[in-house]
Amino acid sequence: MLPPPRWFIPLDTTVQLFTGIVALAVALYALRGYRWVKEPSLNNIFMAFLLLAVAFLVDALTMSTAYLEGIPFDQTFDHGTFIQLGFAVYYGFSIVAYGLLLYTYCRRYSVMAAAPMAPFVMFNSPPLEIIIIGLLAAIVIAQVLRERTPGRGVQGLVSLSFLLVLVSHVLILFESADYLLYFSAKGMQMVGFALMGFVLYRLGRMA
Amino acid sequence: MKVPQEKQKYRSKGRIFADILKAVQDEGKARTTHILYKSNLSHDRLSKYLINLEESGLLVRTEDGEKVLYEITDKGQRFIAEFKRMEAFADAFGLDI
Repeated sequence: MLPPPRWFIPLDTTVQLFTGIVALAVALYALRGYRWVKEPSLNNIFMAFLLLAVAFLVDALTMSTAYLEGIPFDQTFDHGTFIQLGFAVYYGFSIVAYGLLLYTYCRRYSVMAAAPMAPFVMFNSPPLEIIIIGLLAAIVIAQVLRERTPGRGVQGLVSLSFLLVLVSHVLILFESADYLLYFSAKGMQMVGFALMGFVLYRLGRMA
Repeated sequence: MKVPQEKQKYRSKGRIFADILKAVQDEGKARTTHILYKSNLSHDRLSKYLINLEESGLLVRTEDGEKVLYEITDKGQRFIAEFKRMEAFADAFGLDI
């Protein structure tokens, strides 16, 4: 195990805070629309991004607590109920959020919804990162399939942002090989959500 | 992976509201027959939606002699603007509303 150095925790916390704030902005944008239009898809986007925002903000709080208490980066799972609860909320809420997003994409295409999840049924209890990767991969596929002009416009940016978040979770799986992978993963996560924020900004200007 | 074709384009309640409001907005003061033609709804369904829109304060009903006319309110104008905004937002996520 090659854990990231302790000095990286404040940076990691900052990335999680930034990501949480962008997710919250997306959630509030969708909520505003839902209040007017009463469309279930918007409510699902609101719920999913709200859960993601809470997950990222709780993770930031958990990591900053671990940092202030002097707990080593690779031992955070072994220390204290608060820390364990923080990670449980992060993974639990993230999985429900990505699951809800996938359901929203696929609710009219039941076969599409089931197919990407099939490999995971083979595992009795897949690691939480693997479940998130599976859900994100299915979201990226669903998003790309529904693009009207593939790879272009705001749809292309949203696809790219989900793809970057997916790659960041894949890199986290291999963080033990080289902690540079962990830094790259966090960088990609931040760029992915920054793109999502840019999409909101562009939509706001279009209106 | 092939996405199955939808037989008929699904219209959400929000989209139907927006279609009716746009038909009224284009006309200024619109008669039921004009709205019926523009919104592509049966008479019964349109009547229910018009009551809904009136109750929500998005349309006002006025009578000019024997003619019944509908006019869009400020709240109705805002609904159309918000609908367009949310249409673009949902579209960015590859979703239809």
